[in-house]
Amino acid sequence: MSGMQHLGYLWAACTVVWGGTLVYVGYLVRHQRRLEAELDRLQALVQRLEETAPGSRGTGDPATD
Amino acid sequence: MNRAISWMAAASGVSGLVFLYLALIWSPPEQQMGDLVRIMYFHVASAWTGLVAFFVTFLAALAVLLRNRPVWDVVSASSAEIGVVYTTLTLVSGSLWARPIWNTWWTWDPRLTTTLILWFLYVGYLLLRATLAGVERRARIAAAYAVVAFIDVPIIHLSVTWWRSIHPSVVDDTGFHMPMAMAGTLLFGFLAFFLWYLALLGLRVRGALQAMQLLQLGETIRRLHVRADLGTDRGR
Repeated sequence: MSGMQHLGYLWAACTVVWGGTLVYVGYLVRHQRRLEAELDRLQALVQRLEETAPGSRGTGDPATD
Repeated sequence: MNRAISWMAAASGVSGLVFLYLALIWSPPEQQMGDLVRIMYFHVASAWTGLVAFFVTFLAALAVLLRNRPVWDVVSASSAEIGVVYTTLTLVSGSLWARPIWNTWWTWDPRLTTTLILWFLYVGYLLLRATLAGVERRARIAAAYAVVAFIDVPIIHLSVTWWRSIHPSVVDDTGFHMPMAMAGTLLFGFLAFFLWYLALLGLRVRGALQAMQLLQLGETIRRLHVRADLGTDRGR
């Protein structure tokens, strides 16, 4: 087997290991961003609901709250 | 936690680049395999990282069974997922090494077979988690499974001595069977991969904790909706 072929297998293995790791990092980072956006959205919703719900600290009147 | 993950990611990036230089340029070629021996650095470092990840899964699973704290379940699941990623990379890079050296992509050698079994065991663990309902019930059943699945790890280590194997054993109980430059590169590679593992674990655990926070917020919203509906009914 030629030296060029050897180098081909070497680069393929190197690409698989590092490429695989980077793809997984990308997946985790994208997943995290989605979670953070969803958390922000829900926290804003909870705050809004707490202000308007009966028995909450607010009066429920948008004019005075 | 964010700052620790950022520092870990920076250290992983730098050590990864240094490792690439050591593995691809600095370390010497081997007499028979030539440059192909360089695949070993990526293959073995991935394999060790996978095994470390499963060891952490095992310890966290024990902690779930003994202490029953949700955070250990998160660590156990996160580490198992990273272990599956690295074991996949080990199997693929090993296949790419076997083709030019053994003239085959795959052989049912004891070490290869037991590693494939390990991969199936932990893919099964992740699938099992996905099918179980109830946070506490899922944590306990998955932890018991993870403790039993870990039995395969020492079997992989001992497989080359228990059965006839063509898989090279470059590191055993007597030490490294290679020149110092190669052993140093291999150890540095493991250190670099271990830093990657820690950064990935931090990222994955943070994501899982945020997902739990999302569930709690969902529950709060449901409660607030019920309260708002009751208030509307009383007002009528």
